[in-house]
Amino acid sequence: MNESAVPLVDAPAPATVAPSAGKVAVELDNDHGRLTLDFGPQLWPGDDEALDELFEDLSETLLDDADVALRVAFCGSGESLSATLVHKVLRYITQDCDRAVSSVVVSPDLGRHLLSETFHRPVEWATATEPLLLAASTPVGTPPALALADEIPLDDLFADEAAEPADPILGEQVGLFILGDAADPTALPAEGACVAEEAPTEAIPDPSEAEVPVALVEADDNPARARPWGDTPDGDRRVLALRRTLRSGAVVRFPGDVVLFGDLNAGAQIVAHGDIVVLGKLRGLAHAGSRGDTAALVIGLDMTAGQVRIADVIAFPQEEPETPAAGSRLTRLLAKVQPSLPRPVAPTIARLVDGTIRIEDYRGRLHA
Amino acid sequence: MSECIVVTSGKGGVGKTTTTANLGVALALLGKRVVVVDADIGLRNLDVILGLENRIVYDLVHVIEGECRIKQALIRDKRAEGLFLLPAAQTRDKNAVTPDQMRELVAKLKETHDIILVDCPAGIEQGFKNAVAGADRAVIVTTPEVSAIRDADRIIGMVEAAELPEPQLIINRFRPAMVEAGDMMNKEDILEILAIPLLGVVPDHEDIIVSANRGVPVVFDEASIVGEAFRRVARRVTGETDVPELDFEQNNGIWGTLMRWMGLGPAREVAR
Repeated sequence: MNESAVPLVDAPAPATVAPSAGKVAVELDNDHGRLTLDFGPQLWPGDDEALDELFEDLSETLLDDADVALRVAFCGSGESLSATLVHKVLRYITQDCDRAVSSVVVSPDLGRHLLSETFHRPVEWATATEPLLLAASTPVGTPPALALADEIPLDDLFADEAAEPADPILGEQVGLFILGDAADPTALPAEGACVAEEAPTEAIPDPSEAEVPVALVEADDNPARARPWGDTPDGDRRVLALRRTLRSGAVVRFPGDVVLFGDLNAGAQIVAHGDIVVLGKLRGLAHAGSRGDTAALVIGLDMTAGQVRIADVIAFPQEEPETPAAGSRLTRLLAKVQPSLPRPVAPTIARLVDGTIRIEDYRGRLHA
Repeated sequence: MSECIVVTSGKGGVGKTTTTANLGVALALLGKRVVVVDADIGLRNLDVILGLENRIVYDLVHVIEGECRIKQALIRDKRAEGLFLLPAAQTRDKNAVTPDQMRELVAKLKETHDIILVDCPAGIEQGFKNAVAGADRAVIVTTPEVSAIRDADRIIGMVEAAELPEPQLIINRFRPAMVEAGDMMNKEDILEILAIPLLGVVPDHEDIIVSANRGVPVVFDEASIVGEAFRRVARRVTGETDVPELDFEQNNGIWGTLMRWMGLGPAREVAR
């Protein structure tokens, strides 16, 4: 922690609501735009009763409607939080209390549980108006000292549990969808080039909305501000449908499932937290379950030339045993006699079975 | 109506400059007023291919920096009515020019000419960005090699990102005999990967090397099959749609065709 790090909670915490068993201490610092929720050292029940109590405190605390975007810190060491709870709280703050959230910080002990539970669905947290930065500083003491000045990429924080190797792009931004150059991760979001022109147009009534990177779109009920891929408040997985040829150098990252109507050419990449379906030739890199979801699937036409990854396992489809090539002069001659027949393109499915990726013809069954 | 066409490929050595020179000549022979612009600043070649290197006084960078008027820098090719060359500077590099300056230059050239052909340097950096800046559309040159096709794919993506219309493809250095023997990608394979319209296929031929050394583009040679290939590509560039495909085996007779069809023909260079 460097010197500029400012502890969010002083010792003892001058909480507006005194912490007691099953009670969350809510503290607001409007000058610095900080909201601290201290869940204490014990397990917070997290049932409806406790939630209502928390929301009551929140609405009281957030009464004065300042325009500052909040940096919300979830403190505590009781492993109390699930992704759903974080989402519910964030939604309450952004929608019911009308406050923007710029970043979310979860203390490691709270977050560990949250990660192991449902981390391959972090899209649930994409409720911020600025890039959602999930980070936390070093250990939680008593009282929890959590500094926003130290913003550690999520991947570093949960290094031991993240299935994905450190990711230069997704390291700091959750829920980001990039179409463009992998080599220049910073330039793209700034230029607003993050949403494909081919994203379903009916979901983007205002073209200017298309300029907003996915994670940066506020979750509210105004249909004009709907997220390009469709909102799923109930926690359903999001799907990104693209109609284009993904050419060499293009990278699509999406916190959900990706369906590509077109070819994934060599040198192009799709990295999805969920499943990937390519209705075209899969010649590039398809990485499904990039956040560690071992149940993720890749379905594509003709995977022979591409590379498939599921969670942290890599398969090289072209190394699968192929049918012996037509070698003799006669077979080549026969092949020439009927040269114009299109080669059959069979849909192929890749899934993780016992730690290895199994690739086989797709016959309409998702499970082996 | 004037337009600016950029000839690009991503990969080096696939024949961008040769293609630009020959297309320029062929378009001029079709009666167009053509300027071929060498955007490969620091590594100029187009003047050599056209055999105009000893007539250069001013170049593209001189024009952009205001040291001369455009007319002074344009070199007239006396062999083809209406063809001009705007050479690149050899003593500078790609950073001597900005995309905005290129856009301005192309706009001025369009006032007096029908077609501006820009020879793009290899790569995807500043030189590419300059060359594409003023272009209305792009022609992609590739060879039937996986590396060239991969780079062409990348470049197509970048051309699309530059908001140009769908580019068209020229397959260069094509060797029909190798394709027939299954040792080279065929036209269909390439088009399946790149998925853009085809302008034409240009066979690999020693005429190209000879013509480059002499500084006489092969299009001037009425008898050359490569020249014919470029002439047909040029007609398609102007929007002609009923240009027949070139038969590379036209000189080999019925017997050779029959033998090859039966798989008994000797492996040899077609279109030689």
